Amino acid sequence: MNAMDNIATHRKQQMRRYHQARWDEPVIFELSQPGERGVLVPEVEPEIAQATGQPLASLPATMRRQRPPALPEMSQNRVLRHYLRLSQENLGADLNVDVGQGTCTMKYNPKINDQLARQPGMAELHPRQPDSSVQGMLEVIDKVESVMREVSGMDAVSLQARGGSQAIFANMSIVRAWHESRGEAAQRDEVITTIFSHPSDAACAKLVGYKVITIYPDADGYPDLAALKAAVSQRTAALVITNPEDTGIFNSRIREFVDAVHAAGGLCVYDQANANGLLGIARAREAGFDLCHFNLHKTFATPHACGGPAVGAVCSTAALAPFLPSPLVRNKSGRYQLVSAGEQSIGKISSFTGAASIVLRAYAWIMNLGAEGLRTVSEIAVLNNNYMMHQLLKIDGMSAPYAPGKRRIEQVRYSWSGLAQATGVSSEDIGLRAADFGVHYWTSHHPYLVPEPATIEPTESYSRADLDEFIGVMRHIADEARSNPELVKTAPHNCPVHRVQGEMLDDPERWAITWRAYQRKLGERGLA
Amino acid sequence: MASGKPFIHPYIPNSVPEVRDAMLRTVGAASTEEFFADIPTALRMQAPLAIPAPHLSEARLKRHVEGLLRKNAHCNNHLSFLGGGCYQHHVPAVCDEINGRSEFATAYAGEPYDDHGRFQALFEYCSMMGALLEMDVVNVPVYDGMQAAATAVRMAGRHTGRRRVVVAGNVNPDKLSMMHNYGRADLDFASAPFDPDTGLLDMAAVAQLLDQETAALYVDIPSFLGTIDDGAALAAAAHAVGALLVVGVDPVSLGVLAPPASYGADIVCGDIQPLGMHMNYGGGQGGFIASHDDPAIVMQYPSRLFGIVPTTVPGEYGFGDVAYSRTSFDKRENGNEFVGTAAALWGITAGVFMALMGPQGMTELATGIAQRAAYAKQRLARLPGVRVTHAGSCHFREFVVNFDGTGLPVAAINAALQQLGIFGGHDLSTAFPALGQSALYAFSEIHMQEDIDLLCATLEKVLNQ
Amino acid sequence: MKIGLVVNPWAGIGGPAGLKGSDGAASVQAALAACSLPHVPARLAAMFEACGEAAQAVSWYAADGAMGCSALEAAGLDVCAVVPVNWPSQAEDTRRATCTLAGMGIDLLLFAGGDGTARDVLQGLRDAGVADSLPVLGLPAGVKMQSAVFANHPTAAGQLLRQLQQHGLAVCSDAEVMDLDEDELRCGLIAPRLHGYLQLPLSPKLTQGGKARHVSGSGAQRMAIARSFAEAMEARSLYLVGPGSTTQALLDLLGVDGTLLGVDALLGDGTLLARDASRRELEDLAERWQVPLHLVLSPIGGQGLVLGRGNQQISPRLLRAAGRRGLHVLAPPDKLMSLHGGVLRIDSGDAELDAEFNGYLPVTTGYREQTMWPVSV
Repeated sequence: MNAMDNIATHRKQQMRRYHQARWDEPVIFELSQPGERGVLVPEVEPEIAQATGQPLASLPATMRRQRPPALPEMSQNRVLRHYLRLSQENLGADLNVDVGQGTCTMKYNPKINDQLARQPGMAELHPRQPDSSVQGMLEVIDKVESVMREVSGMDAVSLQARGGSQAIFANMSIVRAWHESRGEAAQRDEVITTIFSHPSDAACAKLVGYKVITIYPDADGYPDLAALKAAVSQRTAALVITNPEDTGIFNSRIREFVDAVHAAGGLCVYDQANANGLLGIARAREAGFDLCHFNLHKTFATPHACGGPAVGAVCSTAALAPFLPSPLVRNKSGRYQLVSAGEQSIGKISSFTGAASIVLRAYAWIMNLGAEGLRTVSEIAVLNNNYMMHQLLKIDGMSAPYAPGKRRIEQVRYSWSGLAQATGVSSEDIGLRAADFGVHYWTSHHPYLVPEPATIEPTESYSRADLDEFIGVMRHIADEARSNPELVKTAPHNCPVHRVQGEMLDDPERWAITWRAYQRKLGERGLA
Repeated sequence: MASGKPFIHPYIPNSVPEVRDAMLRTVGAASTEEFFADIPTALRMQAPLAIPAPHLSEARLKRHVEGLLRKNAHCNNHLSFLGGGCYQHHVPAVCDEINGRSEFATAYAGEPYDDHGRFQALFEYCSMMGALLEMDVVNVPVYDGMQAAATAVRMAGRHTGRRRVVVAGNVNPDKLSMMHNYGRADLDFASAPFDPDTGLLDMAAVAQLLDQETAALYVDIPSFLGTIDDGAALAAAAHAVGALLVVGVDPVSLGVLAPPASYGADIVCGDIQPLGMHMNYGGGQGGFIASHDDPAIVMQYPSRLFGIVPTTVPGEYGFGDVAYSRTSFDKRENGNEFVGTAAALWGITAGVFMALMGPQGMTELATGIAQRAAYAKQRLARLPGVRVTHAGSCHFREFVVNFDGTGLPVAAINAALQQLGIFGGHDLSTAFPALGQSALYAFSEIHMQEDIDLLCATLEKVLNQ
Repeated sequence: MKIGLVVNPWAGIGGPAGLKGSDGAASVQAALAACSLPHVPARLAAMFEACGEAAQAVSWYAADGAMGCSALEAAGLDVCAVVPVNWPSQAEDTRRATCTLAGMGIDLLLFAGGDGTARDVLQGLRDAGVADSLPVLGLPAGVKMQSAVFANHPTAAGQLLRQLQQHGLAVCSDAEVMDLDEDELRCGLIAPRLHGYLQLPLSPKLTQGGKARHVSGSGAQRMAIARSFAEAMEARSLYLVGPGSTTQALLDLLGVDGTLLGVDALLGDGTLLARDASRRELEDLAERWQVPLHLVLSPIGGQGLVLGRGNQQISPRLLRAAGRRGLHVLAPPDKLMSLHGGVLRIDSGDAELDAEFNGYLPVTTGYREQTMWPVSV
C-alpha cells in the first residue's frame, strides 16, 4: 500500500480523534517548596533604609502583619509550567469551532489588536494622567463612541461600563433617574422584560428597586404582545427587551411593543447583546428605543478572557444624555478632554473611564473592517447561522421550535426533545459528549422553556468547513445516542477531567471555596 | 453587497463569493437579503454606516493605531507618582506570558470538564487571596474594587436586614458614588468625618453614627488619603451595634499590614490591579470580596464562587459553582444582584503574580514600598512651602502633600512638572476642598532613590520660578 | 435502595363491582386477563424493562399477590418482604398496605393506579406519619390522573427508577394529589379537588455546578411569593385565601392558622376571621365587613383552574365583589409552565362573569416578580 494512503484515505472517513490535554496537575499549593523564589523584588537603597527604618512601627500591633501570607513558594519556571499546563486544559474560541456558545458571539479576536493593546502607549497609561498626556487614548474612546452612535442610531454614548450586565445596570439607573426628574419615580415601580432575556435584565431592574413583570412567548416564539399590553400601565417604568431573542427570531412587531410602552409613559431599553446579525442592517433608533447597549466583547471582537475584562457600551437618545455616567469624553476643536457630566448624571458606574484597553481593541477591529466590513460581518454571520440550521435540522430528533419555515438571524435555539424521548439521551449529555470531539455548546438560560435546548451561534469567523465539522459532530452523537447511548451518557471521555460530582457544592459542611477551606474541612478525609 | 471587487476579509472566511454562493444555494436563498425578510422596511438602514474608512491591511491598521498611541505620554517614558486606586508596579514577564496565552484569553463559558484549566486557575487565585486575607471564601473577580465595595455593603444589608451604612469620609469619592448607585433601593448612607490633621477617622463621630439600624461600617485601609485607621477599634465599634465591619484593602499592603480578618473585619474587598496588571488607563482593574465561611454570608454573594469537588473517577478532582442558586443565572429575579462578564483574566493573572512573589516577595515588596514612601515624605516635607498634611500618621504607599504655602495651585505645579517629564500627584483640591491645594503622591518599587530625589529637585525648581 | 410497591389491580377497570356479571370466568384472575382495557400488569412489565438491571439491585418490599408481588415475580425480581392483603382487595387494602410498607424503612413508595389510588396512598402515608417526607412515584394506570405524582408513562417511570438507584435520591418537590369530585362528575362537570401533597423524587443530574440540580417550586420560592404578596396587603381589607401549598406559605408567613385544603378568611393585618369556611360563611363575612375584598388563589391541578367548580366556597357573588382588581393569583413559574394547554382557567359557574376575566392575569411568581398569564374561560 502506498504509505500516503494511510493519511489521505483514512483521515477523511472518521471523526477527529481528539483528546484534550490532561495534565492531572496538582493544585498549586501542592507544588510549593519552601525557599524557592519566583521573582526577586528590588531592594531599597541603603540610604532609604537607614533614613526610614520601620515606618509602620508606630501602628498598633494589631494593624501589622504578624506572619507572612501562606502563599506557595515556587521558582519562576515552575510557576510558568504550571499555568501553561492549565492553559492547555481549556477549550477557548481560538482552539475550537466555538459556534456552540449561543448568545456569547464567540468570534475571532484578532491578535494584532492584542499586540497593539500591549504597547506602552496603552498599557502604561495611568487613568489619572492629565488629559493633555492621553490625547490618543481619549481620541480612541471618542471615535468608538461615534461608531456606536452610528451603529445604534442613538445620540450619546458611554463606554464606562465594564461588561454587558453593568451596562444594563447603567441603563436601569438612567431609567430611574429619568422618572425621578419628572417626579414619577414613586409611581413607576415596574419593569417589563421577557423570559428569553438575559437574567441580568431582570436582576438589574430589581437591583435598582423595580418589580419585574416577565412576559412569556406566544405560540410562535415571539414575545406575547397581548401579554405586554396587559402588563403595561401607569406603573411601567421601562420595557427591557432583546431583538432577536436567543431563539434568533426577529420580532417584526417590535415597534408596536415600543409604542405601547411609550403611550403609557415608560421608556424602552434595547439589550443588544444579540447585535451580530444586525450591523448596518437595522438599528435601535428606528425602532424607537430610548436606550440600548452593546457588548464589545461579543459583537466587537474583544477577547472573552475567561470572563472579562470587558466593556458594555451604553447608548441613549439626546433626552437621556444628561443622565449618562461621568466623566464624558469631549472633543473641543481637536483637543480631547474628560469633563464632568452634569448634575443629572447617574455618577460613576465603574472606576475611571472603564476598561479602556478593551475599547482600544474594539477600535482596531472596527477600523480594520469599516462600513462594508461590518455589514459583511452581519450578512455572513446570518448566512452561517441559516446554513447551520438547514443542515442540523436534517438530524432526526433535532428541531428548531417556533416560527416554522422562517429564517433566523444570528443564532438558533434548537431542541433535542425528539431524540431525548426516543433514546433517553438529554441535551446536556450530548453537550458533554461533544467535548470528546473538541467542541461544546450552551443549552439555555433557566428556566428551560424549550425542552432539551441547545443554542448555537456560528459567527462570521467560521468557515464552511468549520461549520461542517461541527454539524458532523452533532450528527455523529445523535447516531451514537441511538446505537450506543451509554457512551453518550457517560461522557466526557477525552477531557482533562470527568463529570464532577456536584452535590457537595450545596452543602455548607463540605463546600470548599479556597484551598485553606479544603484543608480545614476535608483535608484529612480527602474528597470522599 | 457592493458591486465590483468582492469584499473578502481575513476575519470572515465565508466572504469568499464562491463559498458564500454555494451556501446560499444549499439553503435555497437567492441572497442574504432573504434572511432579513422579517425586518420591517421602516427599521432597515437605508444607507451604509457612516463610519471612518477602514485600514484593511494589517500593516496600515497597525500604523494608524500606533500613530494614535504615540500621542500618549505614558509612565514608562514619564516619571509618575500617581495613585489613588490604580498603581504602577513592575509586572513580572510571566504574568504577561500567561494572560497573553490565547487558550486563556479566548476561553469563556465552558464547563468544568472542558475548561478545567480556567476553573483551576481561578480556584487557585481565590485560594491565594484567601491566604493573603486569611479568609476561607473569596469570589471570582467582579468588575473593580469600587463595585466590590458597593456589593459588599449590600451583602451586609441583606445579611443583617438593616438599611444604614456608615462610610468613612476618607474613602475615594468615586467609590462612594458607586455605593450610592448600587445601594439606592435598599440602603441609606451616612458619612463619618475624618480629622483634618491626622487624616484618620474621628472615632467619637463614628460611634455616634453607628446605631441599631446600621448594617455596616465601611472603611478603606489604607484610606484614599493613604492613612491607616485602627481596624480593631472600628471592628469593636461596629460589632457593638450588631453591624458588620466591611474593609476595603490594597492587597499589596497586606505584605506588611494585618489582614482585616485578624482585627475583626467581616467582609473584605478591594481591587487586584496592583497584583500583576498593567494600568491600561484603568483597564487593569478587578474587584474581590472575601469573608469567613459562614453559610449565611456565603449565600449573599452575587458573584460566582468555585469549589473543589471529586469527579466520578476516584482520586480525580474538578471544580464547580458553589450554591449556584444564589446567582442571577439560576434565579433570575430572586438572585442577588447580577452576574456577568467581569475581570476573570485578571484574577488568573493575580494568581500568577502571588505565586511568583510567594510569602517573601509580598513581604519584601510591601516593606520596600512603605520605606520609599516614608523617605519621600521626609524629603518632600523639607521643600519650602510644602507640607505633608498628615505628617504625624503612618502611610503605606501614598500620602497627601499640601502646597498652600507655595502660593501655587496644584494644577499649575503639575503642569510644570509634566513639561519636565513628571506626573505629579493626583490633584485633590476639587474633591477635598478642605484639604486646600493638595495632591496625592504615590510610590512603589518602581521608584529608585534617584527618582524620588529627582522629584524633589524638580519640584524645588518649579516652586522657585 | 429499598422500594415499596403497592398496585391497584383494578385501576382502569372500576373495581371488583365492574366484574359482576362477567360470565365464563372461573376466577377473578381469568376475568382480569379477559379484560379489554389496558391493564396494570402490562404497564408494570414495561416499567421494569425500562429500569433494566438496576431493578435487580433494589430491595423490593411489596403487598401480596396482584397488589405487588406477582408483578415482581413476573419480572424475575426477588421480594424481601411481603405485606398480606385481602382478596379481592379494596381501597382500604391500599391504605393499610401503604402504611405498613412505610413503616419498613423504605426509601421510596412506588404505586400503580390512578387518582383514587393516589388518594389512598396519601391516606396510608398520613397514617404512618410520613406523608411529607417519604417520596412516592406513581405509575399511571388509572382512568382519572389529575394528580401530579405520576410519571409520564411506564418507560419514563422505569428510567427514573434506574437513575434513582444509580445516583441516589436527592431533592423532592411537592406534588398535588387531586381527584375529581364524584358527584360533579356524575353531573357531567369536571371539578378537580385538591386532597393534599405527596413528595416526588427528582433524579439528581450529575452535571457541574449543580445547575440542573436546582429545583423550582421549592419552599424558598413559595416563601418569596408569600413575602411579595404580604407586603402589598392592606391591614383592614378582607382576604379569602384558597387552597394549595403556595397560599399556605402566605398563611405561614402571616402566622395564621389556616388550612391547606380549604378557604380561610382573614384581614390584611393577619386576623383570622374564618377557617375552612363554607360559601355561606364567606358571603356573610363579605356582607358584614364592608371593606375591599381580595381573593388569593393558586391554580390547582394540571388544568390550571384558578377558580373551579371543585372550589365551591368561592361563589360567583364573591368573585364579582372582588372583581379583576381583587383577584390575585400566586404560583411559582414551573407550575405555570406545567399547565396543560398553557392557560389558566376560571370556571365559577357563572359563564358571563367568567368571561370578564378573559385575557391575561398578573401572577405573582416570586419576590417582586410577576408574569402575565393567559386566561381562558
